[in-house]
Formats: sequence, structure tokens, C-alpha cells
Amino acid sequence: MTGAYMTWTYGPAGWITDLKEWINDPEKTNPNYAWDDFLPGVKNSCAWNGQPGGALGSDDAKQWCIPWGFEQNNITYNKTMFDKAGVAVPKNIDEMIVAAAKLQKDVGGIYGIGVRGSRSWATIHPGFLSAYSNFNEKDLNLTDGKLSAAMGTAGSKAFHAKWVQMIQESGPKDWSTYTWYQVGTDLGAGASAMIFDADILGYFMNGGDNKMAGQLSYAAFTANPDATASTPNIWIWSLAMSNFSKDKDATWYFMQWASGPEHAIFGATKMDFVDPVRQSVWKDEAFRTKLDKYPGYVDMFDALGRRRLDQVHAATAVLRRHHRMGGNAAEDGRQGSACG
Amino acid sequence: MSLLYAGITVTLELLLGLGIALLLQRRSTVNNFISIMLLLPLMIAPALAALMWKLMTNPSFGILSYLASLIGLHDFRWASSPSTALLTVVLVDIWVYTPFIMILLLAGLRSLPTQPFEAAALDGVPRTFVFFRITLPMLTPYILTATLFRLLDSIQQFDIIYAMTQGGPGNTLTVFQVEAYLNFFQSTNVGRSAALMVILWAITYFLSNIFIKNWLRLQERARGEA
Repeated sequence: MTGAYMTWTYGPAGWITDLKEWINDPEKTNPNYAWDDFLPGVKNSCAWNGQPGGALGSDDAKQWCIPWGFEQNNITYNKTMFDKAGVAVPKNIDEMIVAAAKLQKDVGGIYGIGVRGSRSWATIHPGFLSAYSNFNEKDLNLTDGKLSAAMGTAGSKAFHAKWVQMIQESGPKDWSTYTWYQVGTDLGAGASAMIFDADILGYFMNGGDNKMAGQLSYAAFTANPDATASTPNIWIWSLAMSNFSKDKDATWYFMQWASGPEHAIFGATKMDFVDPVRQSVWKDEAFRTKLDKYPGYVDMFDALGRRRLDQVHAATAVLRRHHRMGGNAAEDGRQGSACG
Repeated sequence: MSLLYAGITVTLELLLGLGIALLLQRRSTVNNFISIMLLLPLMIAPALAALMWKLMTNPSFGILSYLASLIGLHDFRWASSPSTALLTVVLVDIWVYTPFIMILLLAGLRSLPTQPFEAAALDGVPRTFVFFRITLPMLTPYILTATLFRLLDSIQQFDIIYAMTQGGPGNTLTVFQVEAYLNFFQSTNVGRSAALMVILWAITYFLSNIFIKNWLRLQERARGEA
């Protein structure tokens, strides 16, 4: 199990195998495997030609991994707390700042919004990058094959100021050590009113023994008031084949089973395999009905999922180039791997 | 940062470990029981100890944050603030590793010959004089051994710092091992990571040489050969 970001490094380095050979081989791939059933944007994010600036999923791209599941970064909020404080779901970053502060003040004993802050690439890619890119801001520019920093723009600085203000006013007190599980468990325990993070993190907090189980809802978030749609960054749980595998056919048969339609529909309808990568599963009525207990979850996908997921390659082209050059510096490499 | 961390932790652990060992020097059932109980932190994996402390120092609900508020330290941010992050990880290190020094020095204290102390007692020598002129010099080889072990270990510290802060906030706690780990596993920057490890190896080799040479010299002196 790996992530698409990682395979952009592992593939060109020769550590993993181009899977096109197996996918396109009718002798080794079941006709019912339905490669076309995968969400195009998610599938394409796992394919890159290794060329700086090369588009994901291009004809000459190598399929470094098979998507297995994904996460999109949006809002999961505690509806009970929102109702108590009389706060509406925020529609942009300014409203989010105000809503988080009001929730913190009016609900009492909680903080307004959970976002990650630990010293890791994983801090950048969820809420922060989803909102940042919604303002059409970039981290790097690619000009004549050379990368240059792009975060010094006035727009970028203005966004950063708002993001920092939000955390200082209404974020967790020890934000700088926060990673995904702290963001998630605080929401589940009723210590925070909302999170801007992975949707499946919010999903799992709405069930089990969590104190707030059944009280959470979900919403797409468009940080930029002038944007027409949200731009949630995605993480893709993926399966890749080691180039050093002694029996690649056997590896492929396992990968085929694990990413096949039967497994996907079983996981989605009988287990908690949410955010499946197959279009057929998202159309499955049993799956959609099951998600009724998670208000807004399906709507979040329907409203923006496909559109964004089809376009994900546009946001990542520059960053793959950067990722390919990950050996330059620690900070650069982390940032490159974070963006997708 | 690695040297600063190692310097602070080893010095404080040495002082505390020596103090506790002196208190528990006399053999008795109570002292033996206490020394065993004090060893418990050493039996916990440092990474788990760090996670435990991370919960205890959570500014919102941690017990230590609550206790800090009772003495007027409101909104104390512990590991999440650049100004107190080092102090916090040092505290965890002290909690975990002071027993190690304590047990080594306790063993050393209890194995010292009794004659010099009996002679000093007969002559009515003050206790501070006995400590600085008899106990401490005779205990020095044990102190050096304990210091060497702890210095080599703390200069390579990874688990406590990574589990608590991942090297942050910002670059506050990017000690050698954390920086090398992030270079290797997050940036796939194998060359830089390996170079950092070689530098760390050179530092530990240099320091351990100094300690071992001094340790051997003191051993010879203790045997009356120097």
C-alpha cells in the first residue's frame, strides 16, 4: 500500500513496475476487472511519464500504481454544536474564521476548528493546500524547465495571514504537534466543532464508540469567495508492484483481486470502505443508502468529486516535476510530496 | 541541537541519578523497593513514554497542564511552543533515563570499600568532605561509564523527540537522527541522510574515545597503577 505522491518518486527511480503491461494483457487480467470503471482523475494521478511538467495520465505515462481508495479534504462538522451556537456551515475562509471563533466562544470548552500542524508533509496537503489552491495560488512555478518559489505573492501572503489567524484564534492550542489522528479524535470526542481534513477521517469519527457518533455532518468547502467550486486536495491509497518482486504475475493477481469490482462493492456496502475509486460503486444504491447516516457525504462527492477528480492532474503537473527532483533538499522534497 | 540536548539531559540525569543513588545507598527493604519502583520508567519504550507525556502535556486536557495552571502557568504550550519544546522533551528524557544512571551509580556506591569511610567516621571528618574527597573520586569510574552510555544514547536521540514533536515546532528540535530520518524516508534524499549519519558517527566516536581513555586512566589510578 502506498500513495500516488510516493510513486512519483518510486517509479522514475526504478523501484516499482509500470503496470500497463499487466493491465493490458488479457491473459493476465480478468475481462471483468473493468479498468475503465476507475474514476479517471484518480486513475490518472497514478500515471506519469516521468518528464518534468508531464501531464498525469498522458499517453506515454507509466501506470505506477492502482488506486484503491481516496480521501478528499473538506469540512466535517458537529451539527449539534453548530445548532447550539446558531452557526451556519461556512462557505469561504472568512466565514470559517468567524464561525470557528463563535463556536469556540458560544459552545464553551471546545476549540473551533481542527487542522494539522505537525512538522510533516502531511500537514500541508489536507485543508491548507485545498484552500490555498482555491485562491489559484501555487507553491512553485515551472518556467523553462526550472522551478521557482511562488509563495511570495500578495495573494499567497493574504491567504497565509488568514490561515494563521484562524489557527491562533480557534485552532487547537498545541496545533504545531497536531497530525491527522489528533485532528480526528478531537472531533470524535467533542473537543472541536469542525475539521478541515480528510472526509474519511470525519467518517470514522461519526461511528464506533466515539462520543460524537451520529452528530457529524459533511460539506464541501470553497475557501475563495470568488471561486465557483471547491478544490479539495486528494490523497490516494494505492497499490504498487515492487520492481524486485520474484513473481510479478502472482503480485498482479493479488492486486487485481484487491482492487477488483467485487472487493470494492463488498468493502463499500458491507464494510467501511468509503471513498471507493470505482464509478460503479458510487452509483450503487446500497452504498449510497448506507451513507445516509453521514449527512452530506454523498452530496460532497456528487457536487464536486468527479469534477475535481477529473481535473486533479492540472494541479499536480508542476509538483511532480518538483517531486522528481526530491533529492535537492529536505524541505523541497517534503513540499513536493505533499501536493497532489 | 543534538549536542545541546545531550549536554542538558546527561548533566541533569547525572545530578539527579547521583542524588537518588546517595539517598538509597543504605541497604534496606524500603530502599530496595524504591530503587526497583524507580526503574519502571526505564522499562517503558521511550516512544510510548513520549506519547504518554504528549497526552499529559496537552494544553487542553493534560494533567500536567492542569497542574501547571495551579502554579500560575496558564496556557503553557509545552512541546508545541518553540520556547518550551526543548524543555519538554528533556523532561521526558530525564523521566525515562535517570533510573539508568541511578542504578549504575547505586551499584557503584554499594561496591565501594568500606574502610576509607570507617576511617573518616572515626576521625570525625565532615560528611561534605567525605563526599567530595572520598566518595566522588572513588565513584568517578562509574560516573564516567554511566555518562558515556547516556551521552552516546542521547546524542543519537530519535524516538522521544520524533514521537513528541517530529522535530518541530519548525526546526526547533531537528537533531541529527530526526533530520536524517526525514531526509531518507520523506525526501528520499539518501545521500544527505547517510552523510548526516557519518557525521554523527564521527562525533560519537570522538566523544567515546575521550571517555574510554579517561575511564581506563581512572581505573588504573584506582588500582594504584598510576
